[in-house]
Amino acid sequence: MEKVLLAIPNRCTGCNRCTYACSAVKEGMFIPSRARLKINNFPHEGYSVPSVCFQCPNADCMTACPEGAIIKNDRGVIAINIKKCTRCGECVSACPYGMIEQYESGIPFKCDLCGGTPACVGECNFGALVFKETDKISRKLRSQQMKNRQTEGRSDQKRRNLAENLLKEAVRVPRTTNYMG
Amino acid sequence: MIDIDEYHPDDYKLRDMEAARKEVDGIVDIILTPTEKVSLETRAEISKKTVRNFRDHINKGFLDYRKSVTEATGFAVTEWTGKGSILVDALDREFLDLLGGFGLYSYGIRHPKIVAAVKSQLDRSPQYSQEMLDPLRAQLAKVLALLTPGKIQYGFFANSGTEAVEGAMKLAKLYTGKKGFISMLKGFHGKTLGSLSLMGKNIFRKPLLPLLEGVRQAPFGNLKALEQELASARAVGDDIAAVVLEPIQGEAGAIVPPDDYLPGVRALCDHYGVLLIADEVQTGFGRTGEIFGVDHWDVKPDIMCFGKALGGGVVPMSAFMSTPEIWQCMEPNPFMHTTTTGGNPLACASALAAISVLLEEDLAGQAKKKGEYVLEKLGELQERYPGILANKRGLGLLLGMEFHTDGIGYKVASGLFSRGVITAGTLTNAKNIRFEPALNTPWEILDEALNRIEDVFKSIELPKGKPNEYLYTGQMLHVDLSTQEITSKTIPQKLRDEYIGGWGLAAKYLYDTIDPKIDPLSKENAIVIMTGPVCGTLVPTSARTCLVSKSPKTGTIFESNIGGSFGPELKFAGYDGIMITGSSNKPVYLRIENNIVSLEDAGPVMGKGIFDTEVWLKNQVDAETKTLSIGPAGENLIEFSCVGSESYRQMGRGGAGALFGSKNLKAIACRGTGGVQVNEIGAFYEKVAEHTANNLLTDANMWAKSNGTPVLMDVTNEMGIHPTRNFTRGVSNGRLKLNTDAIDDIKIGDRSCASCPMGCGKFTSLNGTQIEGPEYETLCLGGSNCEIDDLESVMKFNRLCDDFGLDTMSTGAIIGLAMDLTESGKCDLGVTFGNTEQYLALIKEIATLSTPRAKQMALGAGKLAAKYNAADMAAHSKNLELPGYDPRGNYGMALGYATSERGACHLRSYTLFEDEPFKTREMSNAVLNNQNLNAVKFSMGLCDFWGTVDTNIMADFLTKGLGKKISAKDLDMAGERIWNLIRLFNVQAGFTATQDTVSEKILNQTLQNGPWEGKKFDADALLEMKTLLYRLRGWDEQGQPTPEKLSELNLLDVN
Repeated sequence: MEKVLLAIPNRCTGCNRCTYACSAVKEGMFIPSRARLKINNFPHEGYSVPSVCFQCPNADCMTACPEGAIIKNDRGVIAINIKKCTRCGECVSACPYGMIEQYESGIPFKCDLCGGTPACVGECNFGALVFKETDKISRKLRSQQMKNRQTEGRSDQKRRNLAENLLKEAVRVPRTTNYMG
Repeated sequence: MIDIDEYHPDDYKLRDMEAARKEVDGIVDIILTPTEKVSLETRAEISKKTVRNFRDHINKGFLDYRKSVTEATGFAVTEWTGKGSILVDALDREFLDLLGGFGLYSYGIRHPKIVAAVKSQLDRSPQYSQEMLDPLRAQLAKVLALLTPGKIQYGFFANSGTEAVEGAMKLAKLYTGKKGFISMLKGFHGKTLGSLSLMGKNIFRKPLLPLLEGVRQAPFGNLKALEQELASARAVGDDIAAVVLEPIQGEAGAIVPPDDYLPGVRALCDHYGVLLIADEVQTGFGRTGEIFGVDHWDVKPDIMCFGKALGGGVVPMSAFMSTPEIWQCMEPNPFMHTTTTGGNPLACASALAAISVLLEEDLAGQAKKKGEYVLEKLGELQERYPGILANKRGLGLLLGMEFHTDGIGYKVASGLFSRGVITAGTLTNAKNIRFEPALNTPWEILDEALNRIEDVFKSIELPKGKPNEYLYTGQMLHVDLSTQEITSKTIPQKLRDEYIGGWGLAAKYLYDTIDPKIDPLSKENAIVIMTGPVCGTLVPTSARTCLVSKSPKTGTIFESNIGGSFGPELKFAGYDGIMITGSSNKPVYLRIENNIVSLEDAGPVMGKGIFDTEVWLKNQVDAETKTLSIGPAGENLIEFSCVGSESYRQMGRGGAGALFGSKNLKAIACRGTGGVQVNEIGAFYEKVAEHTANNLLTDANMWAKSNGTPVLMDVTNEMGIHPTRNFTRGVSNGRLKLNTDAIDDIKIGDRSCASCPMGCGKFTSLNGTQIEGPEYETLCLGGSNCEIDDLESVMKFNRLCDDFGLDTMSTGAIIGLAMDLTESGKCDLGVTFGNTEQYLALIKEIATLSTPRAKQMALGAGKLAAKYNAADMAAHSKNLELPGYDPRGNYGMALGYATSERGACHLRSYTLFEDEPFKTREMSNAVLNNQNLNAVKFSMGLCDFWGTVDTNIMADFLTKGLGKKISAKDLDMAGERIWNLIRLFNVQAGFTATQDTVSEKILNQTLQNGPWEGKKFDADALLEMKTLLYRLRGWDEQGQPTPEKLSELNLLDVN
């Protein structure tokens, strides 16, 4: 069965090791602003929400691309064919979760699950990022995270707004951090 | 992205003859079908199947490294055919071949003349009988004898380059009767066991040791070093048979030696009676612009090795050749070295035709001209893209590009791949990328490839950060609040080497900037904020960022550090630190957005708490902004006010808040989107992972993850050193209500500082009060010491202090003292032990100086007690209130407090877990080691809670990150240097040995409960420990560093 990258905000401590690792692997340096996932920290509320690409079943970025440069590959990853890309940025505006961004040159970048061994998951010491086959609980968590969609604003604003919603909805009582509530 | 885990029903399971038949016939049918007649569907199937076959039968590992897999979308790039300089994959996708099979395809792919000769020979005789004399082999040897320099005349043919090197080594040993070899660092001669002995890289060599004995390596291009090796080998009786080298190092990145090198090597070999073996496997046959690499310097080797291009890129072929004189040793027994397939007729036909092409097309001449052209063009690219291309080099068409980092190199390699250009370069080894295109590559293709290279360079987003600045950003932001002048200056290399970063570097900047005698709250004082070199990387716990200044609380130099994510953000903005001088005439905040830095009006948040200020700042800049700010306490210059960040993190001790306040600086807001570079990301990453797993995430440190600091409630109470009721008792009755179990009951989440996998922060929620914490020191000084055992009240106390900007430790200690003064009748401050209402009310009063009692308490414990003739009721050292470890149950803590640079501080030395709490000699030694190690740790920016980290580990991080050797000894010395520098500051500020003590409360009064009840503190013991510590440090009896010590530490010039 297809594996998904699942974020469990209740477990996230906001350390950002995932974004450091992601950028090290993808950019060759530690530059979280270029990571393919992001952590939205709410230190005052003691909460953190990872933003990850859901590799959507019907990806808006893919539909929006006028060049057909975005495809879903046989592993279920939404992949960009840079050769066909004209840097128009349609995919960036189309993603309702703010998970495609562009370099200054206009070339887009997004999560590709590192070919099946995501570097971010390897660095998460709290189980807030897992890469696993879907089950009932993870489907519920994913649908909760995917149901809100942002059509306006910059990618970082979209992510922030979605994260704020999840913070509001979060059920936080003692000893709940060890399951995906 | 290619699915390498895809399952197929035909995948290998077990031995199966029927399946074997089906598989073999299937592929033979395809081989026999003319290539244009194999359908695209079949070829797509082959592409997928090849990935599975590599996975199941070759080596899965390759699939992670080959760009053909990692960079492909849809289908892996599967080799199908090619011609000249164009490779075509199974799906008819075309690629320009700049890799040339690492020098294999010097004549292009499938040169018609070579292919025709081989086909024709195939129809005549593909292999030999092993008995008759074979004409082609002998003729090829003659041709090669005519082509090679000097007296080279006899040859032996084999199949691969490494076999040629093996043969050459045997020949040298046989002829000289000696066993040793000298090869070159970074040299490469093949991977079979003999050749591997010569390898100049530990990665391939080390796991297979021992190899051939008597092999030494010398740095390439350095005659002196080679002579030293030869001389020392002779001196110790290691007889050397030969020096082996590549005339131009290929694998190492097309390294061309200085012009006098090879002639010099020849002369040295003659002088020492050693043979010279030239490995021309990669450099031979025109590759470098001459027929052989040695021809550039007209050097005549004794033995030469050939391979790669020798076979014409059609049939594998290699050879080693030598002079008649040397070859004689093979004649008595010609069977000493033989092979069945080496030099077979097909290979010889291929090689002969290739040499004919080499001469006919003047490939050496072409390589020379084209190489010069490409180098010139690369030079132009280097000028246009200095941040990408660091260097270019090579000779002929053996060319190398050097990038600033592996990351950039890999981006170039993968960018070229996606633009249809094949080059070398994998993620962990892409800093140098080699080009070895066919020597007859048409000019148009070279131009097209150069265009595509430029196109890739253009597309690469250069992250912020300067070329060759590793770990450090190298920039210090200087902000003069008086003149509003803001500049960024490079941090000199010498300072980084001597003071590391963080605490050390900040102390050095402060020392060099201010007069130690100035009033801390005057505009002459400076504030230095500094990150560590590994801050902003995956080095765990590396986010600690420090502030160094002259303390209004103690009058000493002091350091106070903070976790969270401000430090990394500052580095991502492009600065290692900030130096703040002068004073603003109106309230401002410092705004940093990458390289745009300004001072902005802070009027709207003056008088506001830290929580509101943080929200306001985020609205001003952006949601991800990281901040340092002060509350009303800092604005009102309270001497124990803090600087806060992320609501619940503080630079707490020493009065950092008042320093901001004295300069009219309400806050610093920082947003950075750049990054931190390291020399080799792959090697750095691996080293960090290794130490994180083996040293950090171990039982010794795991308390931080599972419990955090509240675990100390039980520990200190058990030890009887838990400050209770204004330091009168060592065990608290209410401890169970405030211990780690109590915290765990209300914990709703774990919190981490940036890059910390421990997450010691416990976020709690109780009846609507939420906070990260309380930490141990707050539970102790704000709880037990005030006889408050109601957790909710302690949480409220914590929140109020965090918001108003007061240090919970000093505040708790002072309120505890006020309670004691009131109950003992010394004065009435309207607050008694356990009175939660007054205890909570006092925080706002103190921070805003709104009541007469608060104004008195704002003096601090020492001055407050003295005012009421009760000096023996206040626990402090140099005016800083004691932390939560009573030294009457552990003498080492007393020594630590007395000799810390900032008064009573537990973060310089922590002797709780020493075996004997009252042994003076052991304690002096422990304090010395702790102080020096912590000076390094906080200069690296690491957290106190990585309790097992040592200077070896820290040196490893710096070595891998900077790409230059830093030893543990360097760091040990830096630690001592830093400690001596801050001592110099305090000496010059007027402090003497007399002040290195703890207050009378500790010295003269006994504890009233617990294991140390009634035990008198031994003041002589403190004096003894102190005297010994000074002596161990090389200080005089006044605690002043001696000139000898300063000279040893390179500190004489600062005095």
